[in-house]
Amino acid sequence: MPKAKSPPREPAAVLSGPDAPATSATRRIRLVGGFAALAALFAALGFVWMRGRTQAVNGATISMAAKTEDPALPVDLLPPPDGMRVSVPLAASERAYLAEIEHRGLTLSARVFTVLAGAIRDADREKLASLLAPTFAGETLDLSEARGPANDSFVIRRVSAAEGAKPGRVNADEFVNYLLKLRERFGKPPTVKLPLPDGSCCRDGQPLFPVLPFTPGAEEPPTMTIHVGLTSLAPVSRERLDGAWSGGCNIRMVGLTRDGLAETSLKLAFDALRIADVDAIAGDTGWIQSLRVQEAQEQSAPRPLMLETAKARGIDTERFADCWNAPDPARRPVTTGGVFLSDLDGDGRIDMLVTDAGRGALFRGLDGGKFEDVTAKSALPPRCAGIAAFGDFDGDRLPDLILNTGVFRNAGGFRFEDVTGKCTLRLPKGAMGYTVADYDRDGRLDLYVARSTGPQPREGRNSWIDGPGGPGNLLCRNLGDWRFEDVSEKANATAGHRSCFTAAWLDADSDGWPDIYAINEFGGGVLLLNRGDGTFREQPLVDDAGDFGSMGMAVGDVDNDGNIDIFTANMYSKAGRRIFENLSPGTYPPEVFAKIKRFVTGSELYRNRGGLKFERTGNAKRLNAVGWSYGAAFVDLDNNGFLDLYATAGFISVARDKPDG
Amino acid sequence: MAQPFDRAAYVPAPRLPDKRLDDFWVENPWRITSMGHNLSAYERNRVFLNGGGDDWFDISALTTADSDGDGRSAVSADLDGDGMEELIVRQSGGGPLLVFENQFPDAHWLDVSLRGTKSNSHGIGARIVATIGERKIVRELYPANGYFCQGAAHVHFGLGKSAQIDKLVVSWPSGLVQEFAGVAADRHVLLTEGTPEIENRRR
Repeated sequence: MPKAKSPPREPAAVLSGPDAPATSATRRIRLVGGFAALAALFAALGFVWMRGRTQAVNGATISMAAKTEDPALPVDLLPPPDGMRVSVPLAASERAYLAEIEHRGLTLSARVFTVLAGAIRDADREKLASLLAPTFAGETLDLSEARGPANDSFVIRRVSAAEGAKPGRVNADEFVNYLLKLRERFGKPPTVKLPLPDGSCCRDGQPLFPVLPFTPGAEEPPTMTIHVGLTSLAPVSRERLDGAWSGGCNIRMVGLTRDGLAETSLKLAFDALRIADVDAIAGDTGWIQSLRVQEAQEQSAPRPLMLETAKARGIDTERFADCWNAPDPARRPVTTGGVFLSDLDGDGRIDMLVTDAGRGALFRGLDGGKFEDVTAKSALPPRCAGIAAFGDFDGDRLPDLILNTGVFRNAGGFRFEDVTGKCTLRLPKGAMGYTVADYDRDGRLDLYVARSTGPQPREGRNSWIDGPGGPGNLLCRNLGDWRFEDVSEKANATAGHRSCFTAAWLDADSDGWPDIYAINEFGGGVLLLNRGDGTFREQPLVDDAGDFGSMGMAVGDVDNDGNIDIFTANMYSKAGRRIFENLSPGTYPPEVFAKIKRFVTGSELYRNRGGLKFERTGNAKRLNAVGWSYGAAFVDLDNNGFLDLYATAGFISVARDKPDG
Repeated sequence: MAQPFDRAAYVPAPRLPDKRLDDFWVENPWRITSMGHNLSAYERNRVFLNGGGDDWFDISALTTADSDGDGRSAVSADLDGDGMEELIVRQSGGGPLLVFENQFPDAHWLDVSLRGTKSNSHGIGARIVATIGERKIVRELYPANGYFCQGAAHVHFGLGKSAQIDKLVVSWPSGLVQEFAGVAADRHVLLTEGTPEIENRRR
């Protein structure tokens, strides 16, 4: 079993919920299940609470007043699993309240946003107008005032109330006109095709649009998809669920236009006079009291800025495991494998190891970016799954390979010699990542090993906040001649026994010594500052780290100020945000609440201001709402000297027409 | 230390799920993935364009690299030698390996590989600073490490409209600082520790 299988699952389950703002699809349904996952957190907290103790959470002492929990427990749908200690979460009334909110959110998504999306798609003025109340008062932002990067290859224009744009006040007719004007660029109905049920331009690895050849201005039949998604929701009065509600949503239109590939997206706040029952709401009229555009963005490119080309490069992608083809969704591995690049023969072309739950492969890079499968002659293990790192450990200039617990010497000609027995490295099973650097600057490449708590940590040993339950990261010092010394403890490099999926080397303080940033599955990560004497000093990046569920990271100087910045790829949940927003005041002590709010913050960009001062900018710069993110990469896609960002998203997709957690 | 969030979490549902909406309820978060439900499903991978260091634009749709598969790993490299970096993406579902060719308009660039003599053989840990007029671009040579991935051991500079780097300064892990003046762009160079010559790596 590949070690990728289990560890990521646990933290991931903590958070759930509909994803990043622009993602929801016309037929996508929201759910209550995400609430359950989050409420589970409260269950654990509630357990502690009932014991009425003083708890230390991440160094902060929090006084937990003894509270008499509602003795009238609700009837459980299912008994707890065998051996699982039952802890009582929020009061039954509070859980019921939150569930009611999520239920209405699901109702809106399943029965209303589909209607709204269809009406915009069809430019159905009457249908749109019928949803709006006679007293409707809306706000719009004028896209002609939008600004953004523009050149021959792409135009991006954004206008945002948060950045000082003045919204215009409009009535119902004017708001409908505004929406229809925005969709106009995508062509007139009925040439617009039916919306696709997903939120993507690229599905199953293939672009959805007939992107090439595409001639701007030619009479191509327009293709457009529209998505409307819920971001927040709450009743105006807690006591009046049958009364007025307010919330937030996104509208996203994407397709081919005369300008080429284009997208128009809106972030809106809304007020509703009521939210009718599931079966009645689609036919309800005149109940949307207000829609206020908070941000609008238009973008277009004459041709797509990237193009998927794996097969054309000679890579047989079919050989790799794809969970979407697995028969039993419940038995899918969370991660099937990785990709590791190196120039193995020093010819200047990139070679590539792809590990996989099925059959991994080693590819040799050829001219023109093509690849040749050299797995057979590589002498690597037939089941090539899990984590790896290339590095020249013996100093012969050829990158050697650590593959899971195995050590392989690059013997040239894409052949690898198994030197695991000869090498004194004793690598633990179940490690999550390897990263190489010469931390002591002795000319030999050392190895850092990221380790997580693993799939089934023992009860009581693990915390969901800054959990110290990990086995501790390892630093292995290269002594030469395939001898390594475990200096993890001596060098103070275990990263505080956090649960760590990924660690990366960087020179955070620009002193020439390689430092390490180790992320944390259950809270803030830690910077390990290289003192230059073979030891490291631990330091948090900021006092109020916003991370939770960090799984991947990227480092690089994003603002070209000479200080290396850090991006952490975290979990994100719109459902979770709704739930936290809707908790009754005083439900938890403020200190605890501040901690648990981190669970849904999303990805973070820590800008390094120099002098070891870091600033959280993910939320302000719109980078936090990536979605449930594992891996990320800084890459200068347009070669303008500024690093751009690619961030993966999506945890487990099973069925497009079912609710999401 | 006491554990405020242990793993014994269990949440009874307050009522029956609504079948009309395919509601579901998971009593225990550790069970979610084994229950066969969607969880943050069909989220698009995202591409953010860096608009000058302090402003980011979501250009995911324009790249068509916004796969809605269950993305896991991402790493970049110029695979075809045209100076524009490709993206290699691993997903556990929805297309296991995607290679996105860069079709942004061409701009000047320089790739730098290092050969350490006193330093480690690939110069890992070196800091390389490119100065173009008033502008400085700082990069570190660490093979990019993300979740289940590793980048190549060289440094890529995007140079925009500049066909030359006025000054390229390499701070080697050994402590040696080397300066190269007037480095022509649009090639992959190999710099050897302590050697003033610039070697062409490829093309």
